[in-house]
Amino acid sequence: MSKGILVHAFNNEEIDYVKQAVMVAERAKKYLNLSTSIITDCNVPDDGTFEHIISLDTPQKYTKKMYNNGHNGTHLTFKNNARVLSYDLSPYEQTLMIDSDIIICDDTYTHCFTQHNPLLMYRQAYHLAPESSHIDYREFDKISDASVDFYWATCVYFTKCKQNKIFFDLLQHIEEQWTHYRMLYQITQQTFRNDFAFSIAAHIMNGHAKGTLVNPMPGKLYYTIDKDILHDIDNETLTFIIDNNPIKTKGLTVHAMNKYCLEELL
Amino acid sequence: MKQGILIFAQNNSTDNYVKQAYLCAMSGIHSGNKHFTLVTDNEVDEKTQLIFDKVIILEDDQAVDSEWKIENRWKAFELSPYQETIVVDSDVLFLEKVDWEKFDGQELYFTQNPITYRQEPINDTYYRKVFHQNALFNIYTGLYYFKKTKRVAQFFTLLQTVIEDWQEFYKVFCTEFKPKHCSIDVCAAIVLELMEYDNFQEVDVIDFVHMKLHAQNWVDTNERWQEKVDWYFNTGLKIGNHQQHGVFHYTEKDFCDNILARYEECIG
Repeated sequence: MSKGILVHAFNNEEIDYVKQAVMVAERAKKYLNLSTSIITDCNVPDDGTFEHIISLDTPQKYTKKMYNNGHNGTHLTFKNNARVLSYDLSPYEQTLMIDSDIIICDDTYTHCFTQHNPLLMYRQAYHLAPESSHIDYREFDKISDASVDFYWATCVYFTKCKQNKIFFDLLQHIEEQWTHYRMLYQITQQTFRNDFAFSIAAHIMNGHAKGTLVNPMPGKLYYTIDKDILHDIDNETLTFIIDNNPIKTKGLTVHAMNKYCLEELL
Repeated sequence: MKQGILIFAQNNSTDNYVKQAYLCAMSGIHSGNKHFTLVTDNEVDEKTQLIFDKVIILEDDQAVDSEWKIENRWKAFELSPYQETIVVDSDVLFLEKVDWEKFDGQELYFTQNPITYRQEPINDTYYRKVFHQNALFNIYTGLYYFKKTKRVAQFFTLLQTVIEDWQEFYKVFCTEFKPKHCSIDVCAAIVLELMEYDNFQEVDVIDFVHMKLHAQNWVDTNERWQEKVDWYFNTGLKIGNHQQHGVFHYTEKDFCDNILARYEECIG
C-alpha cells in the first residue's frame, strides 16, 4: 500500500510555506524514511524533493490571521481551506498530513502506518513550557466553552476508505457552510479554522456524541506558540527561547508556530 | 404491575411541579416507557390523569408548610404500585426506554455519577459541599431505583425518621458543613450511612444528565444554561449539538414550558 507525507503550502506576503515544506520533506525522509507530496499554488521545481507536486489553484477563500514574531503582530493573508480536499488530492493509500511548521526530529510518526485505525488525530497538545507561557489548556479542550471536543488538524493520519471519504466530504461541506457551522457550534472567531472543522466533522460522524471515529496519533503533540522564539535547529536538537528562558529539546518532534523564526533558520 | 416510574409532584407558591411531572410522563411514553404514577396533593386535570397509570392523592400531606415539598418522599415504598420502581424528580425527561434488566441484582440503587450534556462526569463540588466535606455518600435521589424487599422497606422507614428529625441527624452527620434546610439527598445519604450501604459504582447503569448550571465544566457560566448553550430537537434532543440519552434533568423550570407543546403534539 502506498504511503507518504502530505503538506499544504500556500505562500502569502511574508511566509514562504514551500520552504517549510521542503524542510518537512527532508526530515520525513531522514527520520521516517517516507516520501512527501506537496499541495501548493506556487511554482515548485521538480527536483526530487517532493514525490508529487500537486498544483491547486489558489483556494477560493482568504482569511486573515495574526502572526507574531516575538511579540510583534502582523495581519497576513491565510489560505487554509484547501486542507479539506486532502482525501481527494492525496496520492497515497495511507497519508500523514502535517503542517509545514512541524519539525520532525524522531520516528514517532512511523507508528501511524503500522496500526489499523483509519483516522488518527491528536486530542491534546502540550506546550514545551506551559507555566512560563501562561498556557490555559482549557482553550484547546473544546472548540468553544460550551461546544464539542477539540481535535488538532495539525497532524492527521488517514487511509483511503469509505468512512474517510465521507469524513472529508463532510469537511468540505462544513468549510463551504462555515458561517452556519460557526454559529451552530458557538464559535466566536470568524476565521475558518481547520481544527474546528475537523472537530465538528468528528463530532457529527460520532453521532453527535463522544465516539471512536478518531483514534489518537502516536506519541504526544508538542508545540510552541507564535510568540515563542525558535532559536536554533541542529539536526534533532531544537533550541527555543520561551519567556526569556532557553529550552532545548533533543529527538522531540515539535510544532513550532513562530513561522518567522522558522523561516530565518531554514 | 411489575415495573414503573414514580414521580412526587406538589406545587408550591412559585412552581408547577405537576405540569413537569406530566411532561416527564409524556416524554417517557414517547420513548417507549409505559407505566408512570404520580403522587400529588390535589386533584389533577383530565389530560394529566390520562397519562398516568395512577394519580395518588396524599392522604396525610406532611409537606403542607414546606416550600421544597420533600417531606413525603419516604412514602415511595408504600405508595408505589410497582414491584420495581424508579423514582425521579419531576423536572426530568425520559429520552429512551428504560432497560430494566440493567437493575437485575439490585434492590436499591442510587445514581452516583451524573453526567453533563457532553457525556462527561459533572463537576459537583459547587453544589455538593455537604457530601464532600462530611464524607457522605454522594448520591442523587433525582433518579433512583428500588425493589420491594424487606431491606428496602427498612431504608424507607429510616428515611422517614431522618426526614422528621433532620436537624438532629445533621448535628451528627454534617458536622463539617451543615445545610440550613432539609435535603432529601442528604437525608437519604445519612440513611445509607446507617445501613452501611456499599453499592458504589464508577458508572451509573442509566445515563443521568444533570443540567445544574455550575456542574457543566464550563470556564464561564451565565445565569442559566439555556443562555449558555443552544438546544433543539432533531432526531431527539440536542444540547450544544450533543445528542442526549437516558434521563435528562433539565432543572430550569421554564424549559418545561418551552417544550411541553411539542410533546403534546407528538403524543397526540
